[in-house]
Amino acid sequence: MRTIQTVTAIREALDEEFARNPNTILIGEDVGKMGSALGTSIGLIEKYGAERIIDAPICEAVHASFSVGMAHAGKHVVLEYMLADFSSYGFDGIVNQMAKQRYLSAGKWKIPVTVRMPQGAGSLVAAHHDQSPEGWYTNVPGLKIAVPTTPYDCKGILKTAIRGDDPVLVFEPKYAYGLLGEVPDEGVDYTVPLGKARIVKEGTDVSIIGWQYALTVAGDLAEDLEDEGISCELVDLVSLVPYDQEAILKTVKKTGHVVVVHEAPLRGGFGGEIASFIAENAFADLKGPIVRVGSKNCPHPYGPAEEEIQPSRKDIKKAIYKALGK
Amino acid sequence: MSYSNDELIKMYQTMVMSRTYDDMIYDTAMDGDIIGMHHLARGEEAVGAAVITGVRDTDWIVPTHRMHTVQLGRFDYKKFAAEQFGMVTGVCQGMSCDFHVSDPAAHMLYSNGILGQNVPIAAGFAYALKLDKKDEIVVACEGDGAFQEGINYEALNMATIFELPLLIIVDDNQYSYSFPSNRYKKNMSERAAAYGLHAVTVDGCDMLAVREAVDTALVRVRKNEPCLIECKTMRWDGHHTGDDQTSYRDVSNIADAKENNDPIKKFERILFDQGILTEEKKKEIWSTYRKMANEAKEYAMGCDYPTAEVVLDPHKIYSQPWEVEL
Repeated sequence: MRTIQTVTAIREALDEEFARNPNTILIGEDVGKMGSALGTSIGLIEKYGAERIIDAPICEAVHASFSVGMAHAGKHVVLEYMLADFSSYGFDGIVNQMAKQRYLSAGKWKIPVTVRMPQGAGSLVAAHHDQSPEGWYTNVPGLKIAVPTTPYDCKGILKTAIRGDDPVLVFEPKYAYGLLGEVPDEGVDYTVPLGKARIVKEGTDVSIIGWQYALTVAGDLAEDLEDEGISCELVDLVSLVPYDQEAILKTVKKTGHVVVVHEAPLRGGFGGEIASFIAENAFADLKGPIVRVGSKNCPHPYGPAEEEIQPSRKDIKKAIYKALGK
Repeated sequence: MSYSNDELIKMYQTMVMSRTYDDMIYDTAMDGDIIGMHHLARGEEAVGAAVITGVRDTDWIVPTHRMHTVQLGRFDYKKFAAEQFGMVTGVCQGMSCDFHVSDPAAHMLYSNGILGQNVPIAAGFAYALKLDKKDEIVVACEGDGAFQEGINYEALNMATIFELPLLIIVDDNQYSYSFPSNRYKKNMSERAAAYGLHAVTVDGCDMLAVREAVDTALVRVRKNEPCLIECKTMRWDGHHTGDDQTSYRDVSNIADAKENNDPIKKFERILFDQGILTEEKKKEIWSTYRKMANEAKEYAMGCDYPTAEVVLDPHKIYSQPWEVEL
């Protein structure tokens, strides 16, 4: 194993899959000569050429449709939206085209498009640059959606997405791009499957189910809560569509108390889906209410004030206490 | 341009095939014997006929939602009719009807339920064909209404930046549902020229004019010079069967168009003058296609709709669906 940054892990995934399959294409703004605004495709255009690493003009609507077209013609396409916020222009291409054309053709077309979108706050650039829009897309049949947290998962799940034949939205944790994590040695080909959660920390008193930034904050908090005698089990969902129902039921059975955390706004966020699933299927195992934490239902302001919107240690601690009936 | 007698008769037959098919669909809809909304191309047949007779079998076509000339030219007649009736024996098992139908084996992409996406998706497809040096091109068709969507203009930009083997056909039949195209300040061809495409406007009711424009354009398109042909026609029927146009349109000029600007009648006069068509041959052609239409109708009406099993097949939604077990 070796330790690398998330951004490196993403770049390695692209490099490995592009070497493995000559029918891969990367398209997005500044992904070629500049190696992507956040550095995730540095070196790729030199290796694979400008025809496969496409610098596109700023027309995010057609980026999605163009990708769908290339995929129909047999290409495995990686579409990068510089920030997840900008995917709104490609909304039709994602929810109506990528998600549905296979079905409408009664299965005649494969649509291997992976849409990579850095999401989340941390860069302090306000409401159009800091969102977590995963919830815009979770209600659309036909898509697969991943929310990897660690370099290991970011790399592995991206490889799975590119190799598969379905449209996959990979929301990458922007805040974590510079953070380090362990991945297998160079030359070791591994993938991370969709629909499989990861136990980050085992515990006995309360299950904290989440992903990315919010789960990382919960992880920090969980260490301190040990001193209070509260043992948290941390479950990283890794993937939202599909999500690991078995792992969720198992942890609920184990602890009987649940807090669901995500960075996306609380109202209408995917935490509602998780909570409902638990209420419908594991009611007898619950010893307290399911409590959700998300960011405030408020756009992000510019600058450090964005902290006011984000899910905090305080929010999560309050939620844990509520779940435990304290 | 010169065409052999056989080629001319083929163009004529193509238009008659579409007209008799539409007549059958109209009558069946008025009798209440077919579900759903149907978009007829009566009065506009020359446009699609020029496309389907002008391209190679290996070229890809994205038709408009009305282009039965093209669809009947590529699909089995009965299977296409069954599809239009929503039957499980249809080209796409009744999942798509005529306006979404597609089949990679027939080199046919679908018209889109979301107007304006025909050209953008076709552009991506054309890019991949060029990359793979396939020597196949794409003809993407839209009506005047769909061509107002902004994403088309993003696609025009991509077409010239990336020098795509793409021919765009805009069938301006004067109405997009109720919006009259005479309100636009610039022709579609002028707009395309502004983005750098070779673009012309032709009389869409003149079979030879459209066919010549298509042939001329295809020479360029095969050299990766994208082109656009704007065809001026008139929509005789409502936007779909059951659309009473009188609330938004002066229908008194339709009768005149049917007499003096019918693409079939106009072409007939030329063929009669040249001695290529006789009364006898004309009768034979019309009766052959009327018979075909009626037989297809009988066949389709004797078929079944898709079952829940067909409709809910997860392999239609995803290439790699997942199993959910509780």
